[in-house]
Amino acid sequence: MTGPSGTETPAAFEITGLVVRHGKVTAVRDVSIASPPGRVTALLGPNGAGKSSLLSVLSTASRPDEGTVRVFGHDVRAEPTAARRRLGLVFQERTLDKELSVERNLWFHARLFGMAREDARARIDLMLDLFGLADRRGQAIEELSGGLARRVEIARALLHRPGLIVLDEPTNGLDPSARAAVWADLLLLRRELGVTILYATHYMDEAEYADEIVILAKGRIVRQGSLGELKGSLDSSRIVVTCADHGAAVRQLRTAGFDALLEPGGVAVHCADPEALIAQVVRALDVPGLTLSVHHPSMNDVYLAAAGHDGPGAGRGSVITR
Amino acid sequence: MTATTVAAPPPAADQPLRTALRAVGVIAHRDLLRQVKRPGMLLSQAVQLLFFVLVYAVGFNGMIGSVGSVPFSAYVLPGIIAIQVVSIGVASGQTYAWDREYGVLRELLVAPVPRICLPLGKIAAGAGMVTAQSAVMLAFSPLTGVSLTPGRFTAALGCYALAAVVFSVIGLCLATVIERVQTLQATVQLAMFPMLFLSGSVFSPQDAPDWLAWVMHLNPMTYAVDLARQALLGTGGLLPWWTDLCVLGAMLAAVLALLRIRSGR
Repeated sequence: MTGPSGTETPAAFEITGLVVRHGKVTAVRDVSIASPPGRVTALLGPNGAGKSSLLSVLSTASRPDEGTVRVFGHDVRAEPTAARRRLGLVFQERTLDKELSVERNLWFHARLFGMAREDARARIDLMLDLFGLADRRGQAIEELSGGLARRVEIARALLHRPGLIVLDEPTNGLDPSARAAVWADLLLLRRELGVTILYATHYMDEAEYADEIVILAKGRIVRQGSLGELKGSLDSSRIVVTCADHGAAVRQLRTAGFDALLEPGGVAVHCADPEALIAQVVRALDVPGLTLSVHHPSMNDVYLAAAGHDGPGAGRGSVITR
Repeated sequence: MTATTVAAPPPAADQPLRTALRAVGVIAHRDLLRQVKRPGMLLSQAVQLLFFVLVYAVGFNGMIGSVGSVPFSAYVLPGIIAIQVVSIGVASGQTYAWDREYGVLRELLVAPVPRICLPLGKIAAGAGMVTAQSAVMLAFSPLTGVSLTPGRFTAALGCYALAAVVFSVIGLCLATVIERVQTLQATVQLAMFPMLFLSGSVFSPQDAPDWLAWVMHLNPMTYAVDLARQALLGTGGLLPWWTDLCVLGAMLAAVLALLRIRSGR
């Protein structure tokens, strides 16, 4: 990748032809992904899709069976220590020392990452302030809620100034308010720090925070692109009609020249721009109890299409009742 | 807050040796801090020691009297301290398994330091703690009839420090090979009792039947007990002191090599 001054800027991470095996099971099959610095990438997929295996190799916790993985140009196999210096990691399971205080956990991390004492103290103060943990610094981790502990882990991941933050299902096991707090923190990182973020999730709504979404299924990439590109790749925007007589509605719409389909949720008129057509659809119908709603493809639709499922889970746009 | 204050470039890498030594120190500090936070554990170790002293050095002393020219209470004390050193040393290796169980190990394994630093830090903490305990026990050894001199104190402490390192590494090696904590604990318990008591700690292999003496010579702890007894009592041992030292040194080299392989990069 070429930077603004014309110099080669290494990708924040670059995964090429990655294969990861666990015994006889191949968890990741020939996966290639790269990200320039500053991009937010989501890995989306069901349990067993290979997300954690991929992140495990990227984090240098395990070794690739085939392919290459580089972090800011450092090969994780040949230069694991150099790669680790540029990585900030938040694991799926809790990895804080529960018996030690928030500050002690951060301190030992800072020192392990080679930070000088003065620098470590200043950075810990900064991170505690940034994440609203200053009044918890002396508290043992085991006394914190799951959401606060997660916040400490994110603060710890940033402590040594990594270029790439890797988060494996960061909101797993958290209640909705704690999930919202974690995402507020991550969006703050993205907005204020411009760090590169790679995260794995199986929550569709969380994937929408990313610049690039990679959908994995059975160890392979099945769909990849921005949120807009992925949604645009599905031709599933539609007007859904519900009324007391769906048969009559289908007949009336077809007479008016619409391609109406009877679906489990009502009568669907698939089209590229439902908002432009909805007035014509209303005029074409003369049935009792009429309700119309506009649906655009959601991340869930993209995900289900990528995973090879059909489903009714379209996102709702607007609803008209007559 | 600005992006530059938070996302400034990472500090430059130190010299590899300095990085490694600092990492060992950090991990040892962390483990020692955790031990200090568990006073119950230290108390139970002290109670176990007191129990052994009461049973062997006090109880059996009246019945047995002496071994050669040495009172039995003085004869048995180096073995009792060795039991403490070896059992705590091997158990300190189990902290590695608990760190793995609770996820803490994962964070440590992705730190930008050679992976061997992690077990070395744990060994420094475990062996350091048990050596300090040995120093306290040795200070009280004149109560059992040991004629303690500064030279004997230093030599015996050195023996226990070496034994603590050797058996901490053995404990860590077991923890890297046996991944399930419950299996590890069961294995250690199974191995501990024969190792502790068939080591010459409370009776000499010279007084045992030939087959049992042969078994005792296969026990690595036998050499630690023999070396410590010679150092503390100044009497002739089962084997020349340098033989004990060589066996323990060779064993340390072997288990460190295994640990290096098991630790990875």
